[in-house]
Amino acid sequence: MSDYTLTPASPLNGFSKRYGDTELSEHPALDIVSLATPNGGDETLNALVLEKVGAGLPETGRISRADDSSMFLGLQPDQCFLVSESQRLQPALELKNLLGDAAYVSDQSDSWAVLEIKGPKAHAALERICPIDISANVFDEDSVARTSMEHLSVIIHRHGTDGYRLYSPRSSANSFLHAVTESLYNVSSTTQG
Amino acid sequence: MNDSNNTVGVNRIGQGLLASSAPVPFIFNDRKFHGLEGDTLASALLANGQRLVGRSFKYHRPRGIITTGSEEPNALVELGTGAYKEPNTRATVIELYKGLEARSQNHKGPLSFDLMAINDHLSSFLSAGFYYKTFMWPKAFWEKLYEPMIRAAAGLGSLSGEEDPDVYDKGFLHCDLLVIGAGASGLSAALTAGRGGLQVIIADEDFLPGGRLNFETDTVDDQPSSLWAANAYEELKNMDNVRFMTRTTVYGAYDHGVYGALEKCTDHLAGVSDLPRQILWRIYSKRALLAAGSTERSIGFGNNDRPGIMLAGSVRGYVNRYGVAPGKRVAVFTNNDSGWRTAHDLIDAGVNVVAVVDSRSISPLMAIPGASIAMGSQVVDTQGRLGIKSITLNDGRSVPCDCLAVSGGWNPNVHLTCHQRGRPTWRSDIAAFVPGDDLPTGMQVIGSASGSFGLAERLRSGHEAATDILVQAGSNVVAKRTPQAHSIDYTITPLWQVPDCKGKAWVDLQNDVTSKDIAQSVREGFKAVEHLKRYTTLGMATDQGKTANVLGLGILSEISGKSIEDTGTTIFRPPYTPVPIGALAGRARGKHFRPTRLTPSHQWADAHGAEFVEVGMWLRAQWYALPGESHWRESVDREVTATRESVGICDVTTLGKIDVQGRDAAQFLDKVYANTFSTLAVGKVRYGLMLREDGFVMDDGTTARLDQNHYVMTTTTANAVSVFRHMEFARQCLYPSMDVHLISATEQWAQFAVAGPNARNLLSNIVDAPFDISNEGFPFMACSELSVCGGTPARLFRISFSGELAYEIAVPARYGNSLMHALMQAGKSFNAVPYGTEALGVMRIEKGHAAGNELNGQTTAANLGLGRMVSTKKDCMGAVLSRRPRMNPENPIELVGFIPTDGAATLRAGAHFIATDAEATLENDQGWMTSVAYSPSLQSSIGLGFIRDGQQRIGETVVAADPLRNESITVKIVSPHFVDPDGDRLRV
Amino acid sequence: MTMIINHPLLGPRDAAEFVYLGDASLINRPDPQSETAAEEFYEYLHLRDNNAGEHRELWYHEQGDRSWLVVTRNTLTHDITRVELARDVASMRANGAGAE
Repeated sequence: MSDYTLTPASPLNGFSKRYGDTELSEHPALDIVSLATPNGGDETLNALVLEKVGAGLPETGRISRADDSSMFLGLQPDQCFLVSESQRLQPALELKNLLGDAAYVSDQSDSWAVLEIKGPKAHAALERICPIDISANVFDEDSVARTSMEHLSVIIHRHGTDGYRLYSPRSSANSFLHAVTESLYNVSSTTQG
Repeated sequence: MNDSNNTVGVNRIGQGLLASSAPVPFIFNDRKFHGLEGDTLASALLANGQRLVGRSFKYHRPRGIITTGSEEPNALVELGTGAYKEPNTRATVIELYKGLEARSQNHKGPLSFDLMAINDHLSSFLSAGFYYKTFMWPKAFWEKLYEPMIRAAAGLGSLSGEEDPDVYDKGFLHCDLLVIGAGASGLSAALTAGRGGLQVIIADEDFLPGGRLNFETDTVDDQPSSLWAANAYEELKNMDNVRFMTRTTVYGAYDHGVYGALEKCTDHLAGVSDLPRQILWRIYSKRALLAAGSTERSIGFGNNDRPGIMLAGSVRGYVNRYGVAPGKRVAVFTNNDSGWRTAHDLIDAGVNVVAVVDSRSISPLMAIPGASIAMGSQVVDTQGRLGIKSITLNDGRSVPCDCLAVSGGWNPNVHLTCHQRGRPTWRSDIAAFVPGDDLPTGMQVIGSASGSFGLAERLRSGHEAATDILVQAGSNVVAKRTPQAHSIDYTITPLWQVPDCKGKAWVDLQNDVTSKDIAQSVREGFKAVEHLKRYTTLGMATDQGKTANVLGLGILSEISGKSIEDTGTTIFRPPYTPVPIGALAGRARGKHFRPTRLTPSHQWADAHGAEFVEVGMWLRAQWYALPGESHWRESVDREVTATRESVGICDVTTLGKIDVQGRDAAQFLDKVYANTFSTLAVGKVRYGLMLREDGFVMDDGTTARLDQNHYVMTTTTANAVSVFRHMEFARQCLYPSMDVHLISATEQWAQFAVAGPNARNLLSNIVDAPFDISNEGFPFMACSELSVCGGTPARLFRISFSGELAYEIAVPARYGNSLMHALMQAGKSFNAVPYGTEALGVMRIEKGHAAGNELNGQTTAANLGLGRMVSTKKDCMGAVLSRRPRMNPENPIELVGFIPTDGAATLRAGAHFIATDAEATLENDQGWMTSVAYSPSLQSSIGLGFIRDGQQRIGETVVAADPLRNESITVKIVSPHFVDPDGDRLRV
Repeated sequence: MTMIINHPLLGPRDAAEFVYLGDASLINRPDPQSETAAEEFYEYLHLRDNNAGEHRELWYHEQGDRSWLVVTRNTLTHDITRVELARDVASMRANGAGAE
């Protein structure tokens, strides 16, 4: 029997800061599980997740939402992430028990640092680092994209009308945070429009 | 410090478009002046009667302001002091601000008495090609004497030599339509497109939008043109779908609708800012309208470079926009109607026009009482050392003046149309090049940039182009009507160079190129336009010949007797105007040049004396210095010894981890690995060797089978990304019918090697019951999912890189730092040590494991002594070509170990092996040393290396020759397995 | 300097998100069982057409959806006329339709 217990650490120590009316904060740990669809198993898996999770499989680049706390992010053909607000000990195992052989699951909860940026300067700040168009007219609430910002892989989707959620690899989370805070600082001045 | 007492300026005749009459103090060459808000440095200097602003590049000729814009070749000044010093800024585009400090460039001693002006008197020796011819001999003199001398005498300002203290940023913008230039056509287009709902970006280099509308006294929709521009700006600024970017130069047109733009954010503000000074934007556009306007050019005549000689459109521009008269007695010299417009506007503003000289034999366009009107005439020479005092006409008449307004015609600004190798075409009716048909994808040219000089046509071309784009986009056309204006006639009869002119006729003022230089270039055989440019430097440097190129071509065509169509033109490359290196670098400076990846136990390591090393983007603990350890070797030797004697712990999270799942996962791994994985039992790990398709070794690592259809592969740290890419290629492009799915798990798991005779004892304190960690229950090369420390999910692998009894234990990354702490606590009674990458490296060399130095992309499985791992029973990537005869010779180069025969010697990686009695030559080369270390276990320097037929030569002695360091060390060939060659320790 | 690849699933993306591999014929891996396999693999790996005009090439959307794409690009004009999922191209080949 072990005499030790392990304590979790969040990638950014719960970072949170306001820049005027715009807020940047680390989102507390999410359950993130990747699901891959076995070849030829799309319909089976889609029916199963509709029943068990409450949402169908998303197309690549789209989000399908189960409820306020769970959504599928369509990241690549035959692969999506199920992101849930819950903090289960073994989310992948639980999903595996739910879906059996209908999906190949892999826990990604510890792979990502999740930042939320929200407020009037959020879009302007991300313009400095995000190469893809994330304006509301082309990137709606059900859009998701994986791209690269400051040489780092980032998953981005809209979160509310003036907010975005950003997933970036855990090991480089500090570098990514620096990129976003610098962007926010640079656009939060009165000298710029 | 001398003060200019006149706060209005001797040449300020009105307020032009300036909003305020509040004086703005500034300093030029240590003298205090006052300008007005809305001035440029140039307009403020002219307002104060400062005609002389600098010395020329080569001959140190006194020079003044020529233009009102970014085309300025002459008025280059140095701004700021200390690290903020910035040379070669054009006074014509510097917005005046309180306290601005500027200095003239390129002179020794005072500006009005430049000691280097002697060059002007030596100018007959300094003509085109002078450097190439004169300084060729003797060769050794070039570097030591000639070049430093030339550098000191010629040049364009100087650098501070310090790090740029300013902040720069970059960004990405997207639009349906990019409008480049906010003059008549650009504003007209943006209004139509914006009202129609397109996502529009309109950018202009000026701080006041309007282009020529602000420099002329035109009327648009019954309003003064400048007011119309201001209203258009206001309307566009308030549209949500329009982004109006002032002070922003679109400097380059790149492929597929991408444009580069430089926005100046704080350059016009007083004081120091920690906000970005400039932003480099990458603009992704679906369509673009180039509305870059046109630029006036001069005429070649004697001494046409004196301060006070300016382009005619700029002279009236200073009057109309800034309320500044560049002179009190102005003469005009023109070959087209535009010069007359200047005369007209000057008279309207109450400025004395003393002469109009028109080279065309036509009737005067207007009567000017008191002025000499000379039709069919030319200016042949000018007088005045530091500023023009008079002109001489071809009939010998002399006319006193303090300003000469010259117009040689207007050139459409075709620059961005050339950035994808587009060739402009010649239009003789306007005597200018216009954009050709081969425009960058998505670009259309409107306004005077397309050669339409009439205001009504410019406004209409913008409106119509935007309407077409709206229609194609399926949008509503809300603005049905084009803004109305009258076009003023523009006719021209080209005159490039005045015949029989006295003195030198300057063509490129920035590079001091004269018409004589062009003639000489042609005489010496450099007749092609591209050769002319290189030989004379015509059209080079910061202005890229905006005022000089076409004039130079005109003169070239006259001299060579060819038409301008046949002469052709040089084309333009980005950037349109200079872009500071700092802006190109943006934020990517210092430690922010690239991201940093931290291992899960970074915090623990940092608190425990770790020295970190960069491994790719990772920062890894290299060793952990204890108090009192003064040399890295002390720490590393201690870590190795403690691990081999008891137990050590190392964070190995950086190794790539790839989760492989699917019904065909096993078959897929058989394809990407040289050895077989379909036969691996669930709960076991196997070492895998990966080949490139050409048969050379690509990577290696261990792969565990967690379940029938579930493997976890590890890769080397360096190849984590490329192996994943390679496997996706295999999956999608080669074996698309296989059911196999990949996802990277590198970031997911914190993984630690626990190595040494006490590894199991330590881990038994960590793993939760009832997991059986005994040698029988969990033997060498076993793996399992389990829980540790009272319920944390984990994975355990019994694998060893060190050669000791060893495990790798993985937990979700959030627990990594805590697990490191727990492992050290659990190992306390065993004197467990953390070890870094150095000790890791020493132990793998002692054990004879290949790593990056050996897996360098040039070695085969046979070289590594792993030839038998390439299965002959199945196909895999690289299998066929790995069997090529030359890759399987009788006596291959093989990996073996080396020890110095002199125990005290230190081996060097990179040394080459030579027979003991042979000379160190390429012919005698037998192989090379790849990795070396000091082995605390053997108490000797040891090495791994490749040598011809190595396995057969154990015990032989050769020389490790290192000619670079002038070392030769006699070494003995030994087994690469220095420690525990039979692997007994692994299996206990 | 720049290039936009119109991804069949995601729309236009900057080429900076992609990694280039080479000629799309790399999909056509020879049969390792063939008697002339060594020669065929040598040609497959090392011999390339150097087209002045349309060129089919492999790009990997590494900073995106991880799809391998077959991009048809004109080497004279740099225009991209077609972008396909390499997996579809490879599957068609596997089904005997041929990849060219």
